[in-house]
Amino acid sequence: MTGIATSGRAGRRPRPQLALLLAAGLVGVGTCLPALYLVIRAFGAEPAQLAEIVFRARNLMLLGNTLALVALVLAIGTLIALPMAWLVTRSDLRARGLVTFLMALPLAVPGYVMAYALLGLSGYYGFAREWFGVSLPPLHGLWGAALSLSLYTFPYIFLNLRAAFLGMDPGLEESAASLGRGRAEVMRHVVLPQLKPALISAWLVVGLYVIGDFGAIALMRYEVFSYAIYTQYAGAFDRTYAAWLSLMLLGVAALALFAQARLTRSRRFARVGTGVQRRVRPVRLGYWAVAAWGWILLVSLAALGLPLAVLGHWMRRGIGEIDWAMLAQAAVNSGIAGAVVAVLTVALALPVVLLTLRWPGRFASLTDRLAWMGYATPPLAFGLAMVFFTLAVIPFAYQSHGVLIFAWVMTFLALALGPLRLALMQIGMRPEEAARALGAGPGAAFARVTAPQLKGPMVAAGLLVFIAVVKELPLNWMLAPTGWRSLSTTVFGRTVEGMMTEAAPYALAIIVFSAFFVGLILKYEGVDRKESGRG
Amino acid sequence: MSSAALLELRQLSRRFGPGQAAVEDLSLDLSAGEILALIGPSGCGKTTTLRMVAGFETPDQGAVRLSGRDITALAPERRGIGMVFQDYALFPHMTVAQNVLFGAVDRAPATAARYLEMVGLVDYAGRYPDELSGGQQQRVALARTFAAGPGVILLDEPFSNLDASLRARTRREIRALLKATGIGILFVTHDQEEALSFADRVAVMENGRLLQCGPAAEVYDRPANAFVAGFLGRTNLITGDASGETCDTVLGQITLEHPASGQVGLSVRPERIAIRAAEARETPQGRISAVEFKGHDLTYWVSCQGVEIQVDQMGGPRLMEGAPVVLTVAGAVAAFG
Repeated sequence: MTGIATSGRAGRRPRPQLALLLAAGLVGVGTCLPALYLVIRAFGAEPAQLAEIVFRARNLMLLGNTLALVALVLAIGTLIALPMAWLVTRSDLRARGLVTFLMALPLAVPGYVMAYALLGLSGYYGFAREWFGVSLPPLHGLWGAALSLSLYTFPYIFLNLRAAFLGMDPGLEESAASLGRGRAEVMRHVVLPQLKPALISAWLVVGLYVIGDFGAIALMRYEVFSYAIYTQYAGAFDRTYAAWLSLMLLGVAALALFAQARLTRSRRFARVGTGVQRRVRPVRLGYWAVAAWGWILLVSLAALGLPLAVLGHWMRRGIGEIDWAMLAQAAVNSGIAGAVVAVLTVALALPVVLLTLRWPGRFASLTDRLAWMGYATPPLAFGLAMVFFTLAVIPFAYQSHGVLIFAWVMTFLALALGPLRLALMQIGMRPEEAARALGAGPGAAFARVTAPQLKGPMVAAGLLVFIAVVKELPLNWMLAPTGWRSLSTTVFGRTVEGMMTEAAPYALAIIVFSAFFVGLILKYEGVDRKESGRG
Repeated sequence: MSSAALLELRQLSRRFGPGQAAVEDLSLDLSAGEILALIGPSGCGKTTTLRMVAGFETPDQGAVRLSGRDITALAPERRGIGMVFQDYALFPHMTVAQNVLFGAVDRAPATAARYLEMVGLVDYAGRYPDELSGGQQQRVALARTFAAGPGVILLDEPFSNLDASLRARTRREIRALLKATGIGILFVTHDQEEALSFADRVAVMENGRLLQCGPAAEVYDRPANAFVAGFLGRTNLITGDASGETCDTVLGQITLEHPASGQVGLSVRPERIAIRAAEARETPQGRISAVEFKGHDLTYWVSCQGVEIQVDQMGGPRLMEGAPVVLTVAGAVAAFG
């Protein structure tokens, strides 16, 4: 009998497949590489020089400006997003689907295009003077940067809050009301606390965007870390200082990531009841509907109407001189790059998600964190590190497509994790176990049973990455091969030179491109399915 | 431990992290054509046991043998053991027929029809799982498992997702179906009524250990301890002073099945006790403290020397609360520890 117990056949656990471990390893290397290389570069200088760089007063000013910008963008974004999310989920507002779409659409407008629009609005040749005869003072600095960033990042806050409102058990609000609390009190004590995790994670996403953005702030000439890195890299070319600034920026991003993890730790707000969730009884707006529509109209006009009108204005001035062949080439370049990166990113994200879900443990959660770190790493810092790395280690790859694609995949990997993770959790292990009990091997069971159900989420994840790549500027700007022009680099390159007319068709192409794909994402993520309350 | 057993579990143990083992030193046999219920409260290790037999969990120690062959280290798909999941786990992107053919040895369309015929769903071959009711989904899951030609079928809480009204009928139908195939069935449940009515034998587990295994009626009548007695239905757990064939208790003198001496535990089922009103010159054993009227039968709660005794009565004169009564236990009772 004891012979059986110690036969050695029991007790062996199946290990994750090699492919999963390789993918995890690649993520680890890819996301640690930038930080590592920045550290190497940063400490390459003389000690005396180091002390001078690190304790420069200018660093403090940059930090202050960066934080001020983040705070202002989050404040404006929340002010827009919170009422909108409430309106489309809790009120009897008409055309809630349309409003949802309108509020998600600004995602298609990149920050540098928004900045372009605000710049194009003001000034002597500006849209405002030509159409309305008012010469607006040129919009620069903190407020210009904050407006152009918040007007296109607020949809992240809106979509997160909307999902949180929809996922909230209306029973909680009803029972609070039945315990004698008024509407305002229910909102304050029951609804808002439940929105906190969604709000914080949205703030993190937006905050990281703002920290890492460089198109809008460069055009608005507002001095924050990324702008300083850019000028050091492009102009003064003091690379040690650039490396230090990148490390400081990375530190701010890491702190934000850490703070978010601390603030939302061990909080569970999932609905605990069973059965199909009921829809909450909508609040009657009455005459308030007029105010609601006014707010919706104002936000839509600012976030969508303004860029389109300004672009139209500049397009009209230069319609005859558009170089269609060059425009088409840039669009094709952006499209192909986006598609390649989307496919590669999803292909890498799937094994990472499988690893974290099915072999949970320290290794898996470390991989997951690192993927997020890759996303949080400011693109300029990432780009600079890749420049250092390629020049020092693989000089033949400097400014090659390979390095650019690698950097994009590592940066946007985290975007693809969410949809895949959610889908795999919903599918669960049961179907695959059933397939294996019916005689299918592990690979066949996954391919025949789980993979077909993953198609939609994989497309959604791929689309998210595609849009991000088409709009992406800093990595593109720093790492793209000389002479290879995409839509985003062309818009930025021309706007920064004041060539508004020449930039307009490219900016419009990006908006059209991304708007189309935002629509597709909303479709694949199942907005309508959520609307009916089936989650 | 007959060597003729189809499925043999030998000293299986499984521990998840430090602390209490999920399953400890569990041995069981299952014969061909037999239905064995693994029953216990939630968290007792019964599902872990089932998953170790299916191959989804690897035991830390012990062995699983099918037809004499050691399959402990074999991948689930190579065991020839079918499993029907609690939520049925039908593949949502496949039709009913495609589901049935998934693991079938013979992939001809006629195969699907044959197995669907068996469960009475031959007209549903082209439908998708979400177009079926819960009971129909379960029968498709069974057909799918049959089609793979397993030697043993495992059922995980097979009836828990069905409406109460549907449950009893489905249970009878499926039992007949399983019995007709002659395959060995191991099923897990926390519902004692389901275990007793569906299984030939029941195995009662608590805290990862097997407490008792035997024919349903045997385990019900002669529980190994107070936990088994209490888990398999309402009972009166009393203690008594045994000497030989008899035992003195609050219910008076009770005949024992086997001679014993000293302090023993007894499980006296409420239906084994007869109740009648005490006559004027009799000393009553107790007074009725509560009456629970349930339509076709009654349950009396009788207070006997501070101990509450439940008595079930079908028919007969109805007694009132507070009435002095005489209780008699019919037949011999098995004692434990």
